Amino acid sequence: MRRRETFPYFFLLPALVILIFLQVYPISYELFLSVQQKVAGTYQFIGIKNFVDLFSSYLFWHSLKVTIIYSIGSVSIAFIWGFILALLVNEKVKGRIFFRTLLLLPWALPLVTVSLNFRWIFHERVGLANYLLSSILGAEFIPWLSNEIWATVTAIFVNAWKIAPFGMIMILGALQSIPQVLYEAAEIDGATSWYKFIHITLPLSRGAISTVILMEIIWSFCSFTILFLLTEGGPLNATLTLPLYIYRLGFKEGDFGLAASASTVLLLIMSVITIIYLKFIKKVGETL
Amino acid sequence: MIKKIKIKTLVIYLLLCFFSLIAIGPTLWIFSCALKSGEEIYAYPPSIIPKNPTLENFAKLQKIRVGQGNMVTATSNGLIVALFATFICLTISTLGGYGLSRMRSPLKSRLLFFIFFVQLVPAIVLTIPLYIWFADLGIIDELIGLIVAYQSFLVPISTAFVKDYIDSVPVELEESALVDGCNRFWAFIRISLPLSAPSIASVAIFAFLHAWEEYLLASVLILTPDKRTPPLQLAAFIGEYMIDWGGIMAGAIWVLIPVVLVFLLLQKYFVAGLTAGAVKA
Repeated sequence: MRRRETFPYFFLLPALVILIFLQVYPISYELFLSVQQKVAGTYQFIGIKNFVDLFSSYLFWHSLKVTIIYSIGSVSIAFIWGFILALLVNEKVKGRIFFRTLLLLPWALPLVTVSLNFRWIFHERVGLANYLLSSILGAEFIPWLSNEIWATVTAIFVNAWKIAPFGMIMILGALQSIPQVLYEAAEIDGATSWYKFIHITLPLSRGAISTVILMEIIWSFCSFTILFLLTEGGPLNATLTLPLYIYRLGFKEGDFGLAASASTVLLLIMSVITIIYLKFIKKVGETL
Repeated sequence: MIKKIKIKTLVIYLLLCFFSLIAIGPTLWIFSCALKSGEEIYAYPPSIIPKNPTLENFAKLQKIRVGQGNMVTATSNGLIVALFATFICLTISTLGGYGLSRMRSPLKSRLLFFIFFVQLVPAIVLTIPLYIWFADLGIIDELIGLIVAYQSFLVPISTAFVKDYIDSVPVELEESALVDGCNRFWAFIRISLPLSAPSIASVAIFAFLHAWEEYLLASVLILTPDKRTPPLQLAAFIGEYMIDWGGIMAGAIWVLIPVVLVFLLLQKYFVAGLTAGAVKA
């Protein structure tokens, strides 16, 4: 029996102070703001009026819909893309370390350069994307960023391109920890590659798969910089996600109360996703 | 049978080349465009390799225009912010990670959940309260405001990362130092800290690069052009009526340099830091 020690708390104290001042306090202040309205320079309590206004505004529901489409699109593409990359670099071919480095690069790049670079590549008249597609496939010019549907597709592609390598690294780690004997035993029984994939590879990388999906959902849901610099939420608000809407309410329209109530909704959604994930991880842990 | 294996290898190589090209092609394109003249960059069809390479876009970066900022000032601002933010984050998170790892109280799991949860709080949620609060404190439009604000996401991720690493450093080593008359603090400094050096390297790289490239908080907390960090200065090439693409491409290379250097030279620490639950919004 060890005596209860107090020294760990002293070591942890500075970190806790930082988190209380820079997370707990701002979040509490946000919750406070969401039930306030600025009248003549001072804040007044107005109850749930901000939320009533928010829920009756078309743009809020629109931005929520856009966020969900953007997240589902990004996560499905990024996850499959990352999984394929992981399977490829897990093959024992020469130079796979070299390829792994190249494939990892997008994940390392700053969001600012990625967003601006793709805005240039997807330029409608002189962009690289239209040039390559039209000269190789003979395709017509695509209005990547000026058509509402294409802008959504482009934004999803850029986000998936950026986060797919994260899935690759995490799933590669899981693949490499699967004992080789399992595959050998399956081969002796005459299993096909597909059978091995479904019955060995997938179940044994469940933990990594759920972590990757959660992180990618959260990043996409909160993604700001890519959309802000790539499409600026346009055209016609087609790519206005919830974070961009909060930014517009707060810093363009100066309505901090309404922006705070929208932030509260975003925070609630994040918490629900996190709790579902933790429950799920616990269940996975029990069945393994 | 041999033929089948060869075809399989060939297909793998083709796919690897295809995906690698998608991964690095856009970045190579930045380098190509940065070297093009103002005329060539808007020409169609675009030339893959610049016909008349010029450095005029890079010259724009250091041109000093009153009230518009320039990349030289932005770079020094960015380095100040990134270095101080990294130093503070390293100090707090190595202490915190150690404390968390050596904790044996029922509170521990709650603290771990708290630190996990705050990692997932979106940056946009913090911007409005931090903006109002920092304006009250008078540290808005100051580099110190950014250094402090960045701790909100650097500290929880780094602390959790260091904690995981120190978990693997045996307690017995410290206890033998305690027997020799060290106190807890020196036992930590002399024994556990050197043994967790790799995790500290990862945290330093992670913190430095995130502070260097952060955009959202910087765009809200910095108001005047002379206080801009490199990402803000880069985005400032987007004008109200036109976008200076040559300037953006040259500036993008400038922002990329430290990131790509660290990525190529210190890949091991870099990858560890990036996948350690690094949450970016």
